[in-house]
Amino acid sequence: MHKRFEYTIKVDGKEVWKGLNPTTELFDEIRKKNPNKEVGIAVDPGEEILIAIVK
Amino acid sequence: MNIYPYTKTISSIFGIVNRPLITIKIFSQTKNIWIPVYDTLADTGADISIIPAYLGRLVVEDITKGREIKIRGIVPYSELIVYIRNLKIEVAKKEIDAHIAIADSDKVIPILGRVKGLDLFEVTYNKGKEVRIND
Repeated sequence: MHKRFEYTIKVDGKEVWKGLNPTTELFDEIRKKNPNKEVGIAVDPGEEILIAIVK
Repeated sequence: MNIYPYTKTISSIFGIVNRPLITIKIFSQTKNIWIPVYDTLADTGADISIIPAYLGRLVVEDITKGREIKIRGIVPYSELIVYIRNLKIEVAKKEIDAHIAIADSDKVIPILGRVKGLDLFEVTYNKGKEVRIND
């Protein structure tokens, strides 16, 4: 769980931004530029798998 | 019935591995919109659903509000601090009130776990090809 995962921001399912350090401002900016469209997030799971257990 | 074909991803062990990644939506309390979260791991081994801090900051005002707990993987010394919140999510076109653990870092991917998540559905993992989620 030490790796930073790469993010993708998508508009109506299409990739518009990819990188390691997205900001909430970036998300808002993309939303503003794409009114009435659905802005979503994807996180690349990379090569690792997480198994989560509540302590 | 909602069918999600497995996604081919890179694995350090297998080279290529097919994973049950699905799209869910999380309701943002701050922006008053539904945010699609692609590539969410539908993980029956996870007790709880988790989202990374970045995503948390898009849906709530303060990610550190809520009950603080530590989450562990199979590696005992590897811990993640999370804050449990009740958030509206949409899974397989059904809106549910879910327990979501918002991580205090981005060192985690979005995971749909069992409690108040996958347990609310009939879920079938079909021979490494697809995951079927039925209300």
